Amino acid sequence: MRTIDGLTPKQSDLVIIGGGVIGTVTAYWLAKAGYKVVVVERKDIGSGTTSAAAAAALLQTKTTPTKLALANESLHLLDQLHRELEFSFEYEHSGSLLAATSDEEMTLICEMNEKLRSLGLEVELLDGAQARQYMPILGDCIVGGSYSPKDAQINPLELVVACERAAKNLGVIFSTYNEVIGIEVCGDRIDAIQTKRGRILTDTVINAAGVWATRIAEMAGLSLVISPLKGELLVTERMPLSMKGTLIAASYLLSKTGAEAKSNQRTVERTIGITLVQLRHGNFIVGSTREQSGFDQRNSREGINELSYQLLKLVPSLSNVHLLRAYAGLRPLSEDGFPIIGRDNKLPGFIFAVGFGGDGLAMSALAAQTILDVLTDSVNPYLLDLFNPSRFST
Amino acid sequence: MNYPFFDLAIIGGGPAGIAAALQSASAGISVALLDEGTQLGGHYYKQPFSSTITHLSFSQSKKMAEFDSLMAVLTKTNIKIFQGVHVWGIFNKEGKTINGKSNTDDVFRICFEPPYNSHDCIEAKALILATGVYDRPIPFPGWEMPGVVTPGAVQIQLEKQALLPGGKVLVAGSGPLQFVVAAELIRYGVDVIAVLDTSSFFDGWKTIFSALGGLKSRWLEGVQAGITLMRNRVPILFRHAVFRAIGDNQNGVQGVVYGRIDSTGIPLFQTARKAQVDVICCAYGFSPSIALSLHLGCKHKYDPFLGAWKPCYDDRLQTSVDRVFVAGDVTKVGGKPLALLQGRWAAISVLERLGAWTKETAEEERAIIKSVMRREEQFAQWLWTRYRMLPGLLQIADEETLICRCEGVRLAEIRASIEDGAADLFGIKLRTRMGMGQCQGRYCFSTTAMLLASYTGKNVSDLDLPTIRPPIIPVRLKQLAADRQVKIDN
Amino acid sequence: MSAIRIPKSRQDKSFDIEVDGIKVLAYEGETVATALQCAGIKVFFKQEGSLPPNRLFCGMGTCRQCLVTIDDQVNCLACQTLAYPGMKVRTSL
Repeated sequence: MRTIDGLTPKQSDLVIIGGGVIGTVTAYWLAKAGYKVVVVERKDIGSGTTSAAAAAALLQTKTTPTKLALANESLHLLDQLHRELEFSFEYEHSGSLLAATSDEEMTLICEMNEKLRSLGLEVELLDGAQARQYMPILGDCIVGGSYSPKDAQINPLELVVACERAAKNLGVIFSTYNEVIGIEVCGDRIDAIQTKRGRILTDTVINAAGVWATRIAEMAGLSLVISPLKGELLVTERMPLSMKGTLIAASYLLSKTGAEAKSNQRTVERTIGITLVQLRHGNFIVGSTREQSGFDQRNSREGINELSYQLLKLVPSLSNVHLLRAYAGLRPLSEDGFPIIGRDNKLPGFIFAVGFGGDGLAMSALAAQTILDVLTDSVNPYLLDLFNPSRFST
Repeated sequence: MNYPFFDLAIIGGGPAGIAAALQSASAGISVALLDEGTQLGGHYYKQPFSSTITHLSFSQSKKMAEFDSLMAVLTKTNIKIFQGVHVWGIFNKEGKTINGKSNTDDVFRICFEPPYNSHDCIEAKALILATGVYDRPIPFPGWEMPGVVTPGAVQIQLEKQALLPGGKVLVAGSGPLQFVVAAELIRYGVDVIAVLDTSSFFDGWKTIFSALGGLKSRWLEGVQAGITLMRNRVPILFRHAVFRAIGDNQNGVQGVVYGRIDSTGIPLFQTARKAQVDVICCAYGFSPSIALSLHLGCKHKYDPFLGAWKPCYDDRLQTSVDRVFVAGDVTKVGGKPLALLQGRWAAISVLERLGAWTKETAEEERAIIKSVMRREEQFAQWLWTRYRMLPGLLQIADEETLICRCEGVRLAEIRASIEDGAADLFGIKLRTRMGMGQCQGRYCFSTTAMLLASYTGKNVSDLDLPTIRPPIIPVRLKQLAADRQVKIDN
Repeated sequence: MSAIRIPKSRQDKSFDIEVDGIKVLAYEGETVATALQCAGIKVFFKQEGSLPPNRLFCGMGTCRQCLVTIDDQVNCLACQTLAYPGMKVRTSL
């Protein structure tokens, strides 16, 4: 057996900083297109926010035409990735059910439903009985909901592992347990990056460092505002498969938009929107809290209690299921809630791939394709503007 | 929200916890003792679950008198005993996990289930973790078959359930427990076909003088066990280990293959012998129960003698987290005598740390037990030098052997994940699901770490342990939801 | 081979539990694991796929390999749960 030391080559066409879902999927995508890629990751792939992802790529929670269009394109590209990757990962269009527990919530869902249908999304309104037909584990308190068949569930860890293996087969070098400590810039040019294990000559750097991307940008003399938003989630023991698709509580929408919920939200500092999905091994993934907490990734007693309580209100039949672990991660939010993908206008060799918020998993393939388009100067002008790194500067 | 507050919370009601409780109660601080069993006593003072099982083995009866006298004193104190509770998480006063840092003005919020007297959380200024150890298996082909059990399980079934294994039994492993268990079984007429021991008979004789202090109180038990085995002509095979279980998962164990190992534990397969058995009772030493200390963010160090991690502690038995102390087998497997002493020692440290006692008073109390405690520690060191973990035992497993039983991960997959780039336990977990199952890594982390070290040439002691997020034991969602409801209602 | 109760160790308070519909003897104060083993039942629960069957291993509630379904509640620790009259145990889904 060879000694694991993390290979550090002397030179590369491109260096991707960050081995999370964005960096790993991008590495594969670019290698497939013939680029020589090195990924520098300070721990192991997926060890950041990716390992705390809530395992779903949703369409019907997208509240604006732009967000829905992006989500659609994201899933389309994930389909492609899933099809062509020689290693499998759990990915299934198992659908989603946005569930209401009150008439007010149902009204909100009906409004959204109408809007989404007008945008071309295949969504269907269900009453309580129909909802329970689709998801028999739902409690009687569910009065109805909206069903979206194309939404998907994804195992984020399986995804990064599959992409890493495929990328390695295409020659990508993963320099893990290695940290970037500097970026050498000369005028409008990048010369090299410095890592703990040596210097890599390169003129193109892709910043996919997630919540820690600001630090990387600053090494190149650039500024970047990414705000961490903590999410706690729960992972249960394996259970016999009893659920297909993702359950979304209506309060999830309210939580995401930051609106004060009418349901039992305890504090303004922490909001909760329940999502529930059962992965193929049988574990339930229960998301998630939203809390501004800096870079603190600790779990909290209240978060665990509240998630359990809110979940069991919707799905009382899971009362006896054991919680195996709580997790937490930091969503990297950009200032306007859209990703930042593109070249820096003063330092074109520095490409941003950051700010995916809570959608990094879903948008990973879209991010990868967009970065490829950036390299070949063929980005769709609409996306060029939408994702433009310079859109924030005055 | 007000929780019952105690100066000191002791987690674990075995000998160390009981001793700590008695020592600290005498100084007038408020103490809570939390224990997951149906009665106190831990794994040393074992009693049947219920008085309807009326049988006590000879060794149990001997211990009961001692236990009863401890309880007589304990019940007269103001110590609040929380019986039958499982601690699932400890948080600071903001409700966040501790992660290695506890400020002086903070408290520990200890969450447990099921509720006890309508409480599911108490607060304490200081903690003593007296969480003990559990049997440490080393994987061998077929170790997942019904009929393969740990010596602890056999002893617990005997003492708590007056139950004997049926058919023929092979006892194997590292340490004195196997001899004691085998002798007990033989006294009840169980057909123990052999006792295997990884040590050489002569291991440790040169250094035995350092252990005489501790050996004194135990030698009789050891000699009696030896005599029982010899009188019943049960072969004791030193430098031997189990190579393979014969049977299948439906019908269980039907036989065993065993043989010699060398002084590093490497199996000498050419010496393999087969025997018909119904039960393989096997484990190699102990793993300290460190889930709570990991969860608190205490620093840990790898003990190469045990082949497992244990919390770091100073001469006060304080961990790297202020006001968190440890006592008993979890620090050093020295059995009851050392546990009783360490319980006292840790309690003295708590009293000093909380200001209930001056440094002088504490020193005086320590002086009383210092030398006997050192003698017991020397014995423990001697014992675990003789019975140190032998890394070669890992070569008994083959490519198909389960390493993570809960998630069905085999040795070949562990090896492949390392070839794929896994450089620590997180990386192996990520690629194979090792450690993601019901036991939360208790029975596979140490072995996987040893495998990783042997494949990569790294030292196990250089590996990081994964962070342990709550709950530290699986808890039913309804318990966690109810917890929240209690707080809302208040 | 079944596990053996030490003679004269139980007060005569026995009852039946049901294991997969079949009556199995248990005594007050016994765990489900004890009752199963005395009835010669070694496989406590057959897991799906290639996972090994649940069985007694550590006897102290730590390894969680002895999980059985009791009265339709899955994943109960057989070695820590006391048997009671009329309990319905299932060893498979």
